[in-house]
Amino acid sequence: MTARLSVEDLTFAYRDREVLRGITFPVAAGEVLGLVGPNGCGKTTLIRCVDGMLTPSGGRVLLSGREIRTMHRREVARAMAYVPQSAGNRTSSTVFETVLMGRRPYLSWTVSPEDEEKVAKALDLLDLRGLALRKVAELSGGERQRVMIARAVVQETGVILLDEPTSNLDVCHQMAVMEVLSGLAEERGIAVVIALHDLNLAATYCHRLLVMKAGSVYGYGAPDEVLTEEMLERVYGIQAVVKRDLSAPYMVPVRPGRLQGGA
Amino acid sequence: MWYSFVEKNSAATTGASIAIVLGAGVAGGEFLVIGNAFLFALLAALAIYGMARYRGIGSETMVLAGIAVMYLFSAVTSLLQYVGSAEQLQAVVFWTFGSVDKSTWPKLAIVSLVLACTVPYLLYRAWDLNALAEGDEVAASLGVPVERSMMVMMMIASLITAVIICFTGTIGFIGLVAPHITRMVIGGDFRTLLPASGLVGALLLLSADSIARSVLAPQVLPVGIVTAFLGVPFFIYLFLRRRNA
Repeated sequence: MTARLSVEDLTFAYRDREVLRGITFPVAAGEVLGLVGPNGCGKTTLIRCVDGMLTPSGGRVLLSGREIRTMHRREVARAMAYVPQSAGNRTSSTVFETVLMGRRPYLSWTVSPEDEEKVAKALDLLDLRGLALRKVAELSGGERQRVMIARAVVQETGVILLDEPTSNLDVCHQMAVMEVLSGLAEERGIAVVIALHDLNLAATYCHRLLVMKAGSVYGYGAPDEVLTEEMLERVYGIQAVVKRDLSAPYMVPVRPGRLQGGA
Repeated sequence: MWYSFVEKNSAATTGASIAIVLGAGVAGGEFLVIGNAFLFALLAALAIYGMARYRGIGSETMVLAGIAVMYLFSAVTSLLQYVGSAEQLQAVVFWTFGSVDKSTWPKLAIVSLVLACTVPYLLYRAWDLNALAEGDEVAASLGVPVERSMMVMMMIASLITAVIICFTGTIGFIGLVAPHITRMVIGGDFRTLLPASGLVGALLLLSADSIARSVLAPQVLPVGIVTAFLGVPFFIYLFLRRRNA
């Protein structure tokens, strides 16, 4: 079966400095893939290459078997949505207007009742109906993030890319965002690619993890296979204990030199 | 895009100064100053286009390039004012005040023609402008060809600004205040914001011109002075009110 999104041997360089090397992974419909790795390992660059905002120096990105380079920008926008790391704090638009923007790849000039209906449904899905007329810039970080996800939802794409959507949220809002994304993947068959810093959150909600180290893939697989003490030491340079007594593995970091005595 | 207006103002003033002080220009007779102002305003746009293209297009790059170009042209204007005679200096300063006094039907026809050719296209691309207002990355992910769109929009904005400034001189603050006032009242959707901003700007200019003609009648004040006196405090009031709200 053709993957919803395939990245094959992708390479990217800023002038002479190679930032990504030989990145390969597929994402199936309904799958949540977590991109994890330390700061500066290339997660954001990878997402921007996949979305076509940066032009890779090698390799290719396929959307349902079609190479992204051969597609018009509007076609890509109908197939793949992107939620940036921090968004919405510079806009003067209301929540409704911002979410409506997700219909842009389908709109000519006028907005049809069907478009407005789709926006209303997305607002309901993300529990934003009561905030529809509020300015996005006036919302809290968690609410703003939900607005950006609602915009991606009305884009009606088969793939959603998210760049650290939980980075500024408390644990309750982090889980709320991840629940919504899991639901979208399960119920609508959307392939979700999400860059995350919180390994435990990633292991809890993602079907697969892609661990990046210095622009390359260090490991790829189910959280059980990938989240290991050895990986944490080699990729993050930390000592940690990985527990497996719950439904998903989780890691507990250990202060340097305390592993034998404390853990 | 007020910065775009500011740097073209500055470039047009330099062009006008060269015509007034050095008597050099691309056209002769009554079009000497007008022709130079138009040419230099377009030159500024091209300079920013070149720099932005070299560094990679982005809103921040465009702002920084615009500021750099503005300072360069201001320096040239200052030099010309320094070497010019008292009469030439007075003429340059008067030009920078901006005025609609010298408007004629043929000039109005030229401006109207340019607007008739460009505004419908901008309205047609209103959704692209809406998306670009959210940031380059978001716009790209919504299917907007960011680089091409920004270039086209900038060239059209430059053409409109240049063709108006060259006839009127630099009438400040209308281009800054009108879109912001309109946005505060009707929101940020460019489908309505663009035409409404034009109307609000026209209304502000007409009001300021009426005041300029009546406050010291029969003497007529340069309208640019009145627009600054009226527009800026009103804008600050609206801005502070919004912040407090």
